[in-house]
Amino acid sequence: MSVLEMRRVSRTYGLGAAEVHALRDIDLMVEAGAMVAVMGPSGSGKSTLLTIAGSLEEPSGGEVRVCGQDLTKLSRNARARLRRRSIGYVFQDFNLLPGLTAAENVALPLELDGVPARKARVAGLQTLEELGLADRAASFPDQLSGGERQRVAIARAVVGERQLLLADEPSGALDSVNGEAVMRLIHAACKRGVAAVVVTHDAQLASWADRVVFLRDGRVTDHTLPVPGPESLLTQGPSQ
Amino acid sequence: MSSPPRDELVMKVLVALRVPGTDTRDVIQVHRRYLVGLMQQWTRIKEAEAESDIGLGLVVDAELFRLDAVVRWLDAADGRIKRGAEPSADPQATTTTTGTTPAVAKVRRRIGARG
Repeated sequence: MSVLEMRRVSRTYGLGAAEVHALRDIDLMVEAGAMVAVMGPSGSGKSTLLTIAGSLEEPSGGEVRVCGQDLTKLSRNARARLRRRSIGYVFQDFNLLPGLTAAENVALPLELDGVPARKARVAGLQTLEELGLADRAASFPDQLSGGERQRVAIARAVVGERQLLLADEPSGALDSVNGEAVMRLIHAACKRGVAAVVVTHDAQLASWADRVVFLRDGRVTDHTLPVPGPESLLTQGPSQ
Repeated sequence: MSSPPRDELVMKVLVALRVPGTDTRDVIQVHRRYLVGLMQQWTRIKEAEAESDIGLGLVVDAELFRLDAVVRWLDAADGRIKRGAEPSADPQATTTTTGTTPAVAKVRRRIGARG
């Protein structure tokens, strides 16, 4: 089942001569357990695609379904509920609340969704443990390294029953080692059944995805094929 | 300054720029997709084995960084070609080779980049 379905999605800003087509006729399906990377230059529409997929912005045309629900037909409240329960976001600058500990940051989406604080805290701690951060649960964001902060942000994005993880340049502020650690965590979440869309301009990070989609001038222009087994590397010629 | 080593991909893009009717950005994208596909295969090996085999991890990282560098050059080339195709806001701006210094003209000849 597709967790995310985008059909002929367009987004236009401005009117008349000032009209800008940020997205044009985007078709994108992401199945449960799949990780899709979206690559493209600045201004190609990557972040707009992500905000529309996450129901943070409405498309000018087309259809967006998350977990089978047509976002354009949901009320504002129903969309907010879907966001809280089914969609997790990871941003380049982590967006952790500085006054809350790591465990409280992770538990927060559940509490906002009405889960009792104690139960939310247990779920938050469990997620931190799965991501190897149990010993940092009581630390505040300014006591964590950049890599640890992003791991906490990922824990917050996948806590509970989230089915769709949307990440915008999730390792943009990290070195290559921590960047790889972040991608391993997102990849591991996908193996547990989460669908993920990762926007990045970094080919090394995109290469963790099952499929890489290329955007240019608001259109999907290309995508990679399913990844063959490692033995295929032995039969290929030089990479140019 | 020594000449950069001959690079088949650079030559291919330079040739594509001079072939009428060729969309060089499409040529670039074909290579970008191929290279990213290769990187996906190397990353699968890293994911499966390299954590427990430091030698393999180092080799895979070296190949990934090498391929990444080529993709970055393609990204830069794509952007440069796109900017070159856009109408310039500066009427004095020119893309011809006139007005360059003899040293730059010499470098241009040595690396095979004709204006």
